[in-house]
Amino acid sequence: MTPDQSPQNDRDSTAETADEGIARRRMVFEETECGLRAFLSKRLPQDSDIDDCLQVVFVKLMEKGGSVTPAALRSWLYRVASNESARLWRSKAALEKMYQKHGGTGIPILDPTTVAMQAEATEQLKIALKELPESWQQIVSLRIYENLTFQQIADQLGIPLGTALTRMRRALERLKNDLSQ
Amino acid sequence: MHSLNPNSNEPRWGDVDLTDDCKNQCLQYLLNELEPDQITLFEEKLCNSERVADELQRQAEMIVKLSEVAAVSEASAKDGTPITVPHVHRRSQNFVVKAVWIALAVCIGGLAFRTWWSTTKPSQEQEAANDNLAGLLIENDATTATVSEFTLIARAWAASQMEKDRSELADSTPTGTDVQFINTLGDELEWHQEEAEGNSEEAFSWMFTAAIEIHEVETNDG
Repeated sequence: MTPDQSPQNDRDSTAETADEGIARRRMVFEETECGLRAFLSKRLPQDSDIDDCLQVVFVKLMEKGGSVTPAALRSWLYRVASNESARLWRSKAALEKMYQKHGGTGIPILDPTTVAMQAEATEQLKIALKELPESWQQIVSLRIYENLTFQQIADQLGIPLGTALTRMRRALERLKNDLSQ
Repeated sequence: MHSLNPNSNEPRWGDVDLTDDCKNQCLQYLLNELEPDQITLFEEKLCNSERVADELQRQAEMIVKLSEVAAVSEASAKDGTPITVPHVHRRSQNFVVKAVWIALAVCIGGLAFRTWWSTTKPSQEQEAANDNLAGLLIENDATTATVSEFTLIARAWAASQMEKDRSELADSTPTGTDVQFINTLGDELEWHQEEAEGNSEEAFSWMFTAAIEIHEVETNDG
């Protein structure tokens, strides 16, 4: 890992100025663009659609990326890319065309119901997080909230790197299952 | 997640069950912990395997959700509480318990006030009713009724006014006596208004009695 990519640098960036924040987000996008393109190639058939999607992802990163936790910024980009690719598919459907004909923009609007559902999902996630085994909770907390690397976590807890990674991954899978129930 | 691409059902190179190592690589890639050469290899794999893309998407989704919980926790930390998710849940529980206690206290207070009001108000109503009853009893020549001071004043004033009225009608000469009568009436009203400032119900009772008295006199004349 290069020094510029370390989570510790991400943590220091909490006190950055607006210009520094924009520069950092631009750098993250450039680093991730190739992976995003590979990811989108599995979801969108045409290169032009991938380019359009990447452009939207970049704009959203500049607009809203500042509020995202540094540790989750790359994941956030993939989620935006995934949502945007799905939206592109929907825009090709007849229903979407009809919606657009009646003046809709196609951009999802955060209505009160959606906001309430998101808040409820966050609450469910908190509860599900509490029900995880202690050792898994510890890994999640140190990685996402404390922003330590997996190597640092493994050193701190005296466990192999692979164990730390596996606990984190299983925690994510369990949370995903709990939320989908 | 299933691909939205209709052609994606065709088997592709590398589209096999993911190993734990591969899944761990997804995690490290998303959390920016791969070396540059590992990143290149992983992105090649991502380009060729839909399962890798799906796994990446699943993990990305959950990491973002967890970071949103972290954002809530950090907001709580600014208030001086430590960043632990279970504690955030406990805070919300405490808030709900406090809210319930406050609501309960307000309900009990309201109930007590209403009980006190219902025991106090009927006595005032009873007093007013007694005044009205007194007027009616006088009208019926009942001598043993409990008569209030205002009722007696009302009866006397009504009798005098009717007497004056009758004599003025007999004269049938519109002179300055009309003005004098109005002035007298105004003075009487002012006096009674001052008297009745503290208790509007008593003032009403007085007027009511006077009106009955006047009506009685007119009826007897006719």
